[in-house]
Amino acid sequence: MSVWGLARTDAASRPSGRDLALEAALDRLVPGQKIDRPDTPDLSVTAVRRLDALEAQTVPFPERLDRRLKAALEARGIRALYTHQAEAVAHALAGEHVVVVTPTASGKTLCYNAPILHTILQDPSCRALYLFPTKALAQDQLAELHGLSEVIRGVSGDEIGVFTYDGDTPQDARRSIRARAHLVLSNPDMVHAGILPHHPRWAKLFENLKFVVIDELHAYRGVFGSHLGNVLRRLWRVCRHYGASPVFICSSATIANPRELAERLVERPCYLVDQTGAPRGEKLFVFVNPPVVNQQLGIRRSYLSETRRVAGEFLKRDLQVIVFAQSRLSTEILTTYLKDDFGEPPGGAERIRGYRGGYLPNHRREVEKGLRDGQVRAVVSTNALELGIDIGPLDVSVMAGYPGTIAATWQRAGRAGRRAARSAAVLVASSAPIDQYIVRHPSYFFDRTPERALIDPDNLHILVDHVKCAAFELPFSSDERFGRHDVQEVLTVLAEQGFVHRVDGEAAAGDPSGRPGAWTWTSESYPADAVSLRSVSSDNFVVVDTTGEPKVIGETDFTSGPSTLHPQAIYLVEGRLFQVQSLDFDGRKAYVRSVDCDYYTDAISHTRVTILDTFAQGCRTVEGADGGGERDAAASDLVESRAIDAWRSHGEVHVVSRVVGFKKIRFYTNENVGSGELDLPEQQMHTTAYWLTIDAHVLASLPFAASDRRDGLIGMAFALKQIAQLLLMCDGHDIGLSIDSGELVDPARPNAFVGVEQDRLVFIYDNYPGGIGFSQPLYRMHAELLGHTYRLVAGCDCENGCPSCVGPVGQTGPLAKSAALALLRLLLAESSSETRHALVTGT
Amino acid sequence: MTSRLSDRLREVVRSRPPAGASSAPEASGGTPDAAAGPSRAVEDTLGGEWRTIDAGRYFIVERRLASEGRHGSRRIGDLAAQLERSATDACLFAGGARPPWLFFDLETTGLNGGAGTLAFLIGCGAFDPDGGFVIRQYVLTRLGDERSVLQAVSRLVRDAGALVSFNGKSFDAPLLESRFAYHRLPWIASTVPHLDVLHPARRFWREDGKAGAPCSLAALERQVLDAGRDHDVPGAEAPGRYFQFIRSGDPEALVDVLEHNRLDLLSLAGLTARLLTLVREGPEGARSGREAFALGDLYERAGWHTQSHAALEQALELLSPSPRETIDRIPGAQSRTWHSAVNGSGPGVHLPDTSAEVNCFEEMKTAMAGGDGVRRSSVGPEAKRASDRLRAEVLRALARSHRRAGRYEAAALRWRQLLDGSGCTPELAREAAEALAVHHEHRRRDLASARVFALRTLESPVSSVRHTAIRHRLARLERKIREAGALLALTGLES
Repeated sequence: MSVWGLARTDAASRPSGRDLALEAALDRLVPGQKIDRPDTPDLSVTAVRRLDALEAQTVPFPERLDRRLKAALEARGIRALYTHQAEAVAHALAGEHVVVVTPTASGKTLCYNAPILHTILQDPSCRALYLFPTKALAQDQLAELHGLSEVIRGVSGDEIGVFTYDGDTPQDARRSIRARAHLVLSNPDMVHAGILPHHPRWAKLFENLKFVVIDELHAYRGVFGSHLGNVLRRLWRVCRHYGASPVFICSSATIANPRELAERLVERPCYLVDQTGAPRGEKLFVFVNPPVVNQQLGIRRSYLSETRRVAGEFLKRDLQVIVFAQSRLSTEILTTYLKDDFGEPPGGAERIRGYRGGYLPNHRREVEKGLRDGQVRAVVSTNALELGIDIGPLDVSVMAGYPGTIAATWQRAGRAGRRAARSAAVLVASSAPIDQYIVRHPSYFFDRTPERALIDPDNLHILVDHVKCAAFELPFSSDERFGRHDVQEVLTVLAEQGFVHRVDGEAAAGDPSGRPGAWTWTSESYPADAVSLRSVSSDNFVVVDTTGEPKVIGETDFTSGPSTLHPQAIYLVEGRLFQVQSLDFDGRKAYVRSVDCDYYTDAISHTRVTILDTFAQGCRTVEGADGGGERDAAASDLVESRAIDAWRSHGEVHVVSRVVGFKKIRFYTNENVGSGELDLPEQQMHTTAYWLTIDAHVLASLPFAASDRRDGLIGMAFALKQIAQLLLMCDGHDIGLSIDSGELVDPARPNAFVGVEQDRLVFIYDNYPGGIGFSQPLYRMHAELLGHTYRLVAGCDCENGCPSCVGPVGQTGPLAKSAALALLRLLLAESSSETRHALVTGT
Repeated sequence: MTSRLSDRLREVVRSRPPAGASSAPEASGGTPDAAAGPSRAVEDTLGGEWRTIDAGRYFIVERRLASEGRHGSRRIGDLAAQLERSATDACLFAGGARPPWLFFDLETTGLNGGAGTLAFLIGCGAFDPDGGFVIRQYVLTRLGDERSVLQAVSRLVRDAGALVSFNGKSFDAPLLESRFAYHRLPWIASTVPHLDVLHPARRFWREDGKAGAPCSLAALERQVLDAGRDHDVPGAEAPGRYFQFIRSGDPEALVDVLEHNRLDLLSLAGLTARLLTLVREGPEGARSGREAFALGDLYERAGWHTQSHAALEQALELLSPSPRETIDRIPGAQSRTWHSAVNGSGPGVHLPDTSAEVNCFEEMKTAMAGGDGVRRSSVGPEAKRASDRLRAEVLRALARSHRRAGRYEAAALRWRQLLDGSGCTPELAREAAEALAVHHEHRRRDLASARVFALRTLESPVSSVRHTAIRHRLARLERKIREAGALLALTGLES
């Protein structure tokens, strides 16, 4: 046993050079610390955890598995299946839909490749469709499947056609792919816009479709997942037309609700395989918080410099490292840093490489290969390498900043030590509130199940788009269902607009077997073209650079257009600064010019939220951690029991927002160096929201002046939104925040706080038209939300507020932090013991 | 029928892109279904009938245009006869094509393709033994009849020797194939030769010869067949009219679409007849330089080098800018005179300094433009440029043809004419200059001229690979010239 407590896999063997190097590097990071030390939120290294190695659990190949496949697998050195693979294979071959939860390097691809190749070898007319969230993953899998099919051909002479079909597939190759591919490797976007609308051309695939694979299932959350759910509904309709009923095999990283997500997407029962039989190497997980350099302002040392130092300790000892950065810009910065420190001699092979979207495919393949063969000693990547691209086993994963979700953090950590080798993962926190919360509360991360992936395929905006696409593909029969809403009603409205027409009786184009009627597409348009799976609305602003020849340099979705592209806004692209010269709101174009300045801009917007419909309400005294909806107080009780102080609600709201001005903020110091007023049109949206109601008398009872109470409320709301983001595993722009009285206020003084306290409503709304399913879970997690928010603010090192808790002190007022804490205490103190228990333990 | 969901849906639908102006319903709601009071009206208004196939029914409109009838300047019976005579030449356009010809043209519910795009009208035309043109139009008056329609069409296609279409290879055939696949019917047309007239039409008749310029059937029928249409409904309106019919059940809007489709089929037959006749009669029958050039191209692809060369010479003659020609409209003698004038400048070809010939050329042009105080009044500058460009293409084809046959001097003459003509694009100039550089270096052994031409290849934008090759050539030429110079000096010393 070393000080690190690294267990020797074999007592007789001496530690390898690699193990010693790993130990030495860790020793430098955490001098003299034993492995089983308690968490230390106030030190630079706040947590060190050891994850034990796991032994492999294998079973022999199933008897029924095709002999040619067995021979091919044996030729590749696979002589048995891990238990989870065997389980997945058995259920898939039995015709059940399967979802497999797979840690990295647990052989997930065999879970779907084995049953599929088996089936094709038994009956070569069978077909399978693989869906990957990115083209790069499809390419990666293509290489693996080509390898396997080569071996099968060598073993038995059987030809298995494997092809990718995506936007890069040459037009002249497409026809032959449609005819020859047993396995089509594609992505949801291509299925949506290229395959389903042209299903007759794919008749051979659909007639014989036995399997659909959804790889990286966890990637389909939020908007993307909601779209995919509808794409799969369309896929089912087309399969039915051709008489097919495929089995779905999904693979997911560890999330809280893999089966729920799979069943929501596939809309059929799925069998869950979540006990891995794959071996796992021992792993050390270290949390690093850069030291505070300015106590008062709560400023910490740059996390990028800290990452450089940490990565350096490993690189110095010739360990192979992957560094994950949060943005393309920080990827470039860290690559430069590490090249400076560990760059190769001129003419030598490149040892330090960057990797991100935007690099050419060849470039990326080269880096991947360099990692596999060990030439490349460190790669700095965006989340592009988080998913299953094969880069071989690495020694250490260093994360510059919290990846945003527990699931993604485990994924990134898993890129080191994939193949049962000893490894380390280091998380370096930035000063963002979420990072600070995670790094100071390690057990939140280590002891908690990862997040739930939330989707809402019945969002009306998304649904309507896909009903159009579906009607284009096949007429809807007048008794058909599509999602939770009544699709007949959707079609009726589409008919009013001329998109479809209902034909009854024998003239109907529906099933000849005598369906009552059919809705036929009656428009010249190709509806899939107008629908992007990566956003709710295809309406967006285009950014045109007019510095030289005008050219488009970017685009921004409609919702965030005004706040990022208002006149005089500073717009950043890969570290280059542009200033918006003018915004053509109706033409959806922003004209920018390249500038050189030392500030960025932050828009000031006024948002007003009006409640349209309350789906559920409850007081905080009755909710448990799971918040049983059946105990919700009815609306009528609400009026009688005015004594209850804080309410949680969720429902449908109308959000009106307008950008009224902006601030200029200097880089690095974040000082406010100027401001401007703006006159931009209002944006309106119907969406869903969770809201917290704070009674006037609760506010009035705070021992602060009115303006400080206001600061406290704003500060608390700021922190609340950060925690909501954490709990929902969503991005910052996925949800919006607004504090309102919930009633129409004097338009001349929007959001004005008058002397007499009134009830305050803190809204956290889905920042997508129609909502994307965040509000109900927030409502359910109300107690956790308040508890974690309290712990975030209370645990912060700063004196009077900082960007890591209630917002920078210059913006929130000197007593914001104290008032926010007092308010949170008040809200919590009146809770029932049941709730208090949940708050204290954080469960 | 209003509910909360409906209200929210309306809001959502209105925030999305509209269905498209042409397909918007005349009035929302309350319109009778096609099925409500339909079939009588359809039969009367469109003049068709119901037929049965297997278990289904389909609606068909059949017309016969008698052989005495006319389309533009042609008798329909003549078209039939021309096609009959030229049947064997069709294989130049589509391998294996033979009579009976089945002309076909679709009217569809959109141009984007995909499962939601229907062929609501499949028009088929064929000549009968008496020289009449029989048109069968399969109309999807009830959406549920599509399968029967396709089965009926399938029988027609099975008996055809070749399909003839206008842009059918890219549009009509794939769309039909997709409809057959939708109903899981076998697509037998893949085994029948298919002559798509659009592609030869582009080469034979497109006015300015520019790639990508529109080449519509309506324009061609005016230009080639002297046929015109009154009150034609543009093809783009067809989908909207069909949707209107589907919503209202009133087939009136389809009447003009059917007529449009019939005229399209007739013009398609006319263009095909003209094409096949041209091929059979050879370049003598060409009415323009473009036709002759396209013929040359066609023969060349078929490997008929002699015929191809003759067609190209004919093209050059038809394109040669003679002022008299334009006034007298007599091709031949005058243009030959002009030719000899150019040929007369022959010695200039050997000169590295091209200024003399350029001057000569300028004079010619001045003479053409103002010599008799006459300009081609009917021909705009745009058409002049197009004709110059075409002439340059012809010269290039001729030069290559000569070179292939080993007639290097003749080839050099054409390259030279190309280089000095006004339609010469930078790419053509580079090719010509390079050919001339090779010619002068290796055959003429005129190193100075070769160098001038090699230098000239650099005037056009070239790829870096090519640039390197040119540099190599120049370096080699410089070296040879130096060596020759040294030799000269040496002989000079000795003498």
